[in-house]
Amino acid sequence: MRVLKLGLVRGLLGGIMGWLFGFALVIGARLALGLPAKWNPNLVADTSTVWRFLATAFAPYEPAMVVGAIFFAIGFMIGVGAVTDWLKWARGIETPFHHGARIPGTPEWARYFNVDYSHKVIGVQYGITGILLLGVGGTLAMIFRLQLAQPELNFVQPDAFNTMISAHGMIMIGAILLGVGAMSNYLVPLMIGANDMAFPRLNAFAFWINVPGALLLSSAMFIGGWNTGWTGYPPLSSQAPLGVQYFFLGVFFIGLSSILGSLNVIVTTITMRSPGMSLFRMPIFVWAAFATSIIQLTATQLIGLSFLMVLMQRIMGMGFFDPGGPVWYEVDKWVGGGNPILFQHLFWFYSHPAVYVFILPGLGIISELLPVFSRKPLFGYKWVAMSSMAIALVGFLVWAHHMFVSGMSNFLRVPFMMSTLLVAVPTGVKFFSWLGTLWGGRIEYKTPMLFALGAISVFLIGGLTGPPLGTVATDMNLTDTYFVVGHFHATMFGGFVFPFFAALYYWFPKATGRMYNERLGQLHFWLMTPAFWVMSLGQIFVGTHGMRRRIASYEFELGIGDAQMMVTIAGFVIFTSVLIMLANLFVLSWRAQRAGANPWRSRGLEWQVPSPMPEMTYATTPIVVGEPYDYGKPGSTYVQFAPAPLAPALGAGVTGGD
Amino acid sequence: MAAGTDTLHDSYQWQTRTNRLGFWLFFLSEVFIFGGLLVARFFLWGGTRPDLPQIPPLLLTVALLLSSFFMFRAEMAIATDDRKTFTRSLLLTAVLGSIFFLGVMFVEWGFTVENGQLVLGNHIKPTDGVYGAVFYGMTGLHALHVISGVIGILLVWNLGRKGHFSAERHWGVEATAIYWHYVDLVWVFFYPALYLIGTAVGHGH
Amino acid sequence: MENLFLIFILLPVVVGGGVLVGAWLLTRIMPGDGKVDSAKVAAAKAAVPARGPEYVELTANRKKAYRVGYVMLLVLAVLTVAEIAVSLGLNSVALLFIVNILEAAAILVVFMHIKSVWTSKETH
Repeated sequence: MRVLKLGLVRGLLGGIMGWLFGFALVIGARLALGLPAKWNPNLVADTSTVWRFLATAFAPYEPAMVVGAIFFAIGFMIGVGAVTDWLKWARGIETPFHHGARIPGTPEWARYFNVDYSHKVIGVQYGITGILLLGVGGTLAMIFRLQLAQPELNFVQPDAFNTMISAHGMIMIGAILLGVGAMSNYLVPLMIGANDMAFPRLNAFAFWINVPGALLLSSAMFIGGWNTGWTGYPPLSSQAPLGVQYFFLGVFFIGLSSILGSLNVIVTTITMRSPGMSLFRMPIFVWAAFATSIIQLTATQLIGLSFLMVLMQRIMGMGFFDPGGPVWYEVDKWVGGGNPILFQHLFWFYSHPAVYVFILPGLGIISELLPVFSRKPLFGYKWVAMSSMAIALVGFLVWAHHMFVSGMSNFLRVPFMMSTLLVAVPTGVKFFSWLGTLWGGRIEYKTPMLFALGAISVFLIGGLTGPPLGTVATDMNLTDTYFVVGHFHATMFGGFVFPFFAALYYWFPKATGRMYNERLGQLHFWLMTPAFWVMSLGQIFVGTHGMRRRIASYEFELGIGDAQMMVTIAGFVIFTSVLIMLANLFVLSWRAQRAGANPWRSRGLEWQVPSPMPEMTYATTPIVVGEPYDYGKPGSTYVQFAPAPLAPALGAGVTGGD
Repeated sequence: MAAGTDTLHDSYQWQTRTNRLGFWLFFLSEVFIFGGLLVARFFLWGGTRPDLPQIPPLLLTVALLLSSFFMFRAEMAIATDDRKTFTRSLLLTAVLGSIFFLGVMFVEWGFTVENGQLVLGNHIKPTDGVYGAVFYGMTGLHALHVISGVIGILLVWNLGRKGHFSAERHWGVEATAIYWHYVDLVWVFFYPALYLIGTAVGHGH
Repeated sequence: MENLFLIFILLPVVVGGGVLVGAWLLTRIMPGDGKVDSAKVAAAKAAVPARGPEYVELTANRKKAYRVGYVMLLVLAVLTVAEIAVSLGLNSVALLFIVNILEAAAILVVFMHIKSVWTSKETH
């Protein structure tokens, strides 16, 4: 049974056992109490096709399905071994920490399928899982874009269409969160000169809880799907098919990962910086990751709470969002009184700051790459650092702009409009800094730089379509049209996808020691960027011409068939170009030429050690003596290496007891 | 390098400081889920509250505050090497915590059977509109934290009576203690929100 | 009626019994089989001299710490009574909220020693 040595296989087995246990526990308790096994005896499985059978067979057992899913995650985490050390601590056994494979003698490739405490392994695990989810979400998009390519097609049935757009939305959000986790876990310790994160075991746990989360999220499509869109608003979600429960639980576990992972990033940034690295000598990406983590740590709890409330309303009849009976101020008995608007407040209190979680690390990557490829100092370092923090903090005050037309109190509209438009100020600071950095630089158009520039152009589309949506008067007309879809996809591509690809190309030689194929990289860029402009502007165009969101079909009379066809074709071009990148990085590069330690002539800490990096990245402690982005200034240095490993006392002395 | 050690970051002092920071950040995170429930309470109940018996929750509150006192005593005892007080106080904390948990389950919730269906609710049921929903939501999430705290205290007690902790090394005790006080802190806000604020609305059946 | 009996009698018995059996199992499966690890205790005790100035200081600290606990108990009792009195008599949400904040602050500062998060001096 060598395959059982792989943590992933053990985790899946443990998860299945846990699921069966949880399901049997609830059904067994019901039978023991003399109750029928089915909650709703009227629901009967439809055996006409396998698909229909899966979609209907589990619906009568909804509470047992929910408990089963929770035990699935617990069983998975025990099976994969993510909690082994903690269980040992509970029994008083100490587990000293060693860098390197956790189980001695594990081959290098197997470390990626096991629980491993190295932040580099975990970063790659995050990245690969994120790209896999990106593939799933992208494939779904390709399928329903075919349905939308022409008016009044009947290629995808409306129910399946609803499930697909909902799954596309949330799976992509999961993919983005994993991608953000990949960047912050891999890069933050490298950039601050630490050998690992502050809590390596928590880091491994935070990654692995994503796997049951992603599995539950994906399996929701097969047990009935759900038709609520990614937002899961009640009252629709409180009566949607069973799939919505697995969607909630999947999001719940991915959110748990967000919380724990960001906690780790914050503590690492505060406590593990190299001697001499004051806050304003940190690389700009670390600032971005720090600001992101503050949002993730706090706001994520509220999407968990809001989904949990709908989940409980469905299985326990707790009517948080069920208006029932008379309106609340007439209530003199305990009936009804629920309010769906409460869900929207709680939901958007996370989900709006969440878009800053998605974009801030990407914007940090752009600021990170521009100075390297322009050979100039970053323009306005402190302003850029502070703008990330400002976006994170202002982001907490703008959530209700998603609710201008949803029936919330009218007096809330104008304050939230103003705070929303305020976000443009720190974002504008970033744009000025990027332009100021590029101005007069000797720009090298390598693939990472191209993607950074592409990100700016695309993010500009997203940024400029923002104010019309944030302004009440125009939002009244644009809400729930494809204009919103165009705006959102432009910000996500400009804020996450393009910078993420730039980061993949940029750090790939550092991580693997091999250089990717520059020509294929350029091909990827020149396919993807124009295609994205077409797609984005096409979406905005059809939105202003009457195309609504979340509908499976539209009328000939709208006259937008050609534009929709362009959008679909552009989507397929983007999909293909990403496949080119995957081939370039993960297939062709194994025969590629070796990259040196510092192919980009970067000043960053991680570029001063060999590629690929050794297990202990910094065997000798780096000491920061200068500014991070002083490119082109003669005689300036950022980092020196101590002659020998520092003793604890000396280390504490140099940091000045931070 | 296959394996190595990081001298700076392996010391107990450094790890305790880091752990403490991480734990407090976790508390900060939890503030938002409990705060969200409080928001839901004021959003849905407004200036009203369900008319529930007042004496049991008061007694349970007293039990929880007392348990927090004993937890503090236990932590101070191990910090000054008083092992007997340490283990005894821990056990008392666990007992008082269990009383709180069982009290919520059997007095505040209660289990009854109606028409062959298992339902919760001596005084109030989860299905009693927003009153039931918010009541069970708040007490339920809090009780979940209480029971995990009790399990943690029992684990620490078991390790403690085997001499696992000392005046110099007792991060495990401190972590459990501040977690327990945090659970107490949440109840300080939940108790008045559930039982004291607003005009009581009766069950108009 | 039988179901009622089932739940009110059996459930406490099952839950209570489960906790007891669990606690017993806990003491069995633990390393050291429930026996005191005398080596660890001895090592810990060796760190503190039996008599002498350090021991005196330790006992003084202990007494002081316990006294803080009693004072806190008194404070919490007074604040809880105040809470009830405010809600019964004055029915003022603002005042109730102030009492809550005081209670929470006392717990944060004394019980949870929040200061230790940012003080760099390490006591243990």
